[in-house]
Amino acid sequence: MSASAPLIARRPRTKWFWSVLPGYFGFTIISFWIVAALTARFWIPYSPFDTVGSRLTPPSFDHLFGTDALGRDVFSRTMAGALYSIPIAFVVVTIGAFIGCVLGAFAGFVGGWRSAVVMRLVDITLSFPPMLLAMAVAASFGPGLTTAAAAMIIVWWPLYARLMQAQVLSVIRMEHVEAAIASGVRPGRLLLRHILPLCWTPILVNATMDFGQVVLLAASLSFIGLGAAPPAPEWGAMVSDGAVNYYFWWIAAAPGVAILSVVLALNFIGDRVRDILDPRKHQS
Amino acid sequence: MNAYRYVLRRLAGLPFLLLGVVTVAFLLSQLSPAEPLASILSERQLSNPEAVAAAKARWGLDRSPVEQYLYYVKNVFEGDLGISFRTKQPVIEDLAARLPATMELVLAALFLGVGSGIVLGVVAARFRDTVVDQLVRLIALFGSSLPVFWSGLAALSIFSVQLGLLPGPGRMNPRAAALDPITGFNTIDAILRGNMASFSDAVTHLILPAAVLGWATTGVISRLVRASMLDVLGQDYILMAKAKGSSGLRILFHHALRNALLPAITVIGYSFAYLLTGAVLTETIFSWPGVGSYAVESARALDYPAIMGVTMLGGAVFVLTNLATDLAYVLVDPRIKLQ
Amino acid sequence: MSDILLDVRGLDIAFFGMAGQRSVRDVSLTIARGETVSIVGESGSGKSVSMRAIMGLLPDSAYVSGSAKFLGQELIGASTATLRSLTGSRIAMIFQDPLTALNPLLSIGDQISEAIRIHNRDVSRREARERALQLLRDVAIPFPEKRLDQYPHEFSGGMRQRVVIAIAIANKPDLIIADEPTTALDVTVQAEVLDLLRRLCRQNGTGLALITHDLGVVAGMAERVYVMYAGSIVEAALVDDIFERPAHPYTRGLLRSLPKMKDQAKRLEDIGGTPPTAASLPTGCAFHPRCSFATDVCRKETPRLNSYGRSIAACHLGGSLPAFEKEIETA
Repeated sequence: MSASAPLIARRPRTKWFWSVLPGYFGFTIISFWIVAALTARFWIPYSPFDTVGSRLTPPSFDHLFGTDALGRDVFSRTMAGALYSIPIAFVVVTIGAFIGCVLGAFAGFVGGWRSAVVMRLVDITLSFPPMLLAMAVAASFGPGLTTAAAAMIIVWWPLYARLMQAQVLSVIRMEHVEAAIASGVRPGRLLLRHILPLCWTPILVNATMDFGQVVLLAASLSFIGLGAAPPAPEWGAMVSDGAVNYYFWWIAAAPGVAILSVVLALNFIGDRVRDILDPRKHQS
Repeated sequence: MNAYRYVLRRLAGLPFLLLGVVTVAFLLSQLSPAEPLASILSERQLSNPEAVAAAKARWGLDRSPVEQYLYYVKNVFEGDLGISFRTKQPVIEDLAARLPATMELVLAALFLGVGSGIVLGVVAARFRDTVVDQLVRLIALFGSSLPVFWSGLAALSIFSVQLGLLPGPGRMNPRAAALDPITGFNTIDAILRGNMASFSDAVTHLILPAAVLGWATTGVISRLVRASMLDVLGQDYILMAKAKGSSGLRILFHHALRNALLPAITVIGYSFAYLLTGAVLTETIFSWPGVGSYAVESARALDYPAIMGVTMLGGAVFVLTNLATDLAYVLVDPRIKLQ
Repeated sequence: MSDILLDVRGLDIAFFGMAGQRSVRDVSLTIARGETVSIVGESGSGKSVSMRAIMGLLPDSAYVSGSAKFLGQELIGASTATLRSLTGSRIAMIFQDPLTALNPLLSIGDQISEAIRIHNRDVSRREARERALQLLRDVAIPFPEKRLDQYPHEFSGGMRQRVVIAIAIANKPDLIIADEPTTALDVTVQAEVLDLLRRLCRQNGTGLALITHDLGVVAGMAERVYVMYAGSIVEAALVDDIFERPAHPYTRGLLRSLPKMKDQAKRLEDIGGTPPTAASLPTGCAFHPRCSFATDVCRKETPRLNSYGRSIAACHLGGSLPAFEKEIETA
């Protein structure tokens, strides 16, 4: 045997290719759509709301993605649609996570009957299929973008409340927290300084992973007609237009791909964030 | 013993959750802009004083909100969900008529989604960190990123319009002779009636929506099965099975998969929720006459009694499946045998 | 036919991602038919890894080179089919932790029958069950008929290890590799399980490779002992010589850390320091940082195995060490 010739070269780059690269890819796509959301109105060739050509023309140089049943330009509408899906998802995840975290932290921290009330509320809300509950709430509030967002927040907060409550309950048993309790730290300070800083990771991971699902749900509500009102170039609503005329595939193709690209990109980013934040995932 | 108490506790929680479901529906119907009476009676009946009086009495509309709530709960548990504005039928009858179609679709999708999810998960675990594993991951990611209302449309456009391989929307060819329902599942009814033409008609109509719907769950399940397979494959008893001289396939399926599926049972059960959600949209795309398309039609028409009915049905089904899932978990694992 | 059951020569093992450091270095050992040989060392010394390599049980990330002949047949690099036909039938393994070595979802009977039926396709289910029952009797499990259909969680640790032993002897193997078979068990149960193992091996003429970190276990069981340290064999000797005339300072350290009945009050001695890992192997003799006899040459040169009387040991100081006086007992 030759003494210490290295038997192994180094880890191949597949890990980078399959896990880091998709993260960048997702980031690029999302950046594109954020830029589109902010600037599309300045560079899209046609008004997204008006009839600008003949009806149901297939993709051409004049109309990159064709025109819909009302003769509106599908390309312009798709680009302008970014202004709906992305802000809605952001608002829903942020507010939903905020409400859920506050109530969950409260429930985990105070315990007793107040905790029970919050957690039963969580249980009941989670005993509906999310889509059905969102539909019912959105319909009860009356259709519209704001009510759809409100409905989604109502559907979404319990997930975070449950997560946060479990997180607080586990952190509260850690030694440094027990030491802080023993040394008489006031409850408010205990929660804010000693407990909450250790609770964020799973919340953050879940929030990134959820982003895509919220985009999907928002588009679904619009598809049904409970989201953005008709002339608005919301992607779900545009697919719905295409569904009526499904022989003319291009009407729904672009908005559908747009939804898919956003959700896929958000899932890539979510996976990456989880890889980075979740230490258990690090060992291969 | 512990498991026994767990089952009891879960069963005891059931009425509470169902009541919660009804309460949410009640609160939502209070929120809705429609006049409460209008959410029970059709417009035509609204001009009929007798019907109005009867409805008021039945739903306690002239009483306090608390009493109204009690009337509501009582009526719901007696099976009275009001009359749909749109169909002018009792909501409960509409739902009963449409439930089999949804169950047929959802079960077919569950079968496809869970089956492919398990297979892909096992394959990914077996070929962990190889190209195969990453391909499975991509398939899974696409599945959970695709809006079903769009992928359904794309599937129709490709397989039905462009390639002409499969029929278009609907449950059966409208020109074919209708099947006399037995179970309400067209595929099963066709077999029971010995009608092979109807059977192939029903199956070809079922393939696309079930595949589109199932794909959404493939992702979640394959990821979970992969993770739990990897966990199990690292256990000593797998090494022991190898030391016994078991073949690779035997280790994978006889020794590892069973253990790996235990945690997966929960997700399989919960993926029912995904499917119910997806069914709403898939049914709409495929003109599938089930509860999902009923929900969408009702929502579009702001048909409140119907919406609330569907929501309550969904909640009840969801609660019951989750309970069944948790109980199944207890039953399958010999370590938690009931005493 | 030769008397050598297992003949391992120059076994080297490295793991993927460990920068070429070998976990097992140049291990050679032999086991004769019906012989009980013990391989002793601290955890991480490479004793389990070597034995698993022989059975082809290492993960794909392991690189194994060298030779291991079982009854003249090469095992290292052998085809999966060859290995599969040998493992479980001619060579069996007993794992350390009976709590995790049995599949929790299969009944005991199924797990024993499986071992039989994998290697004997013509045995019917019923026959396999009968034989499983007999095996449970052989390993002295009470109420075997009832126990056969129970699941692992219904057994105590000692009983589970008996089941594992039953699986190991199911096909009357020529060699059993027992990897710390009693470490996870209560002290009172340990002796029973060891007795059982010894009795069964004698009865069937089975060779036994007993992997342990506990020299106390070795005394009553083995005929010969290999001592491993940091992936290499540092001493090989007859069992009496190990206890009477240990040639390597490390073996002495192990002996000194054994509790002795005579003077329980005396504090047990520890070998100072911790064993190196494959990645942090010191230069020269791997044991020198912990060795009280270490000299300059120990720090620079890796010692080779040399004969000292009937033993062989890898120590530069070899014969020049002060005589081992069984200090514990005399002090």
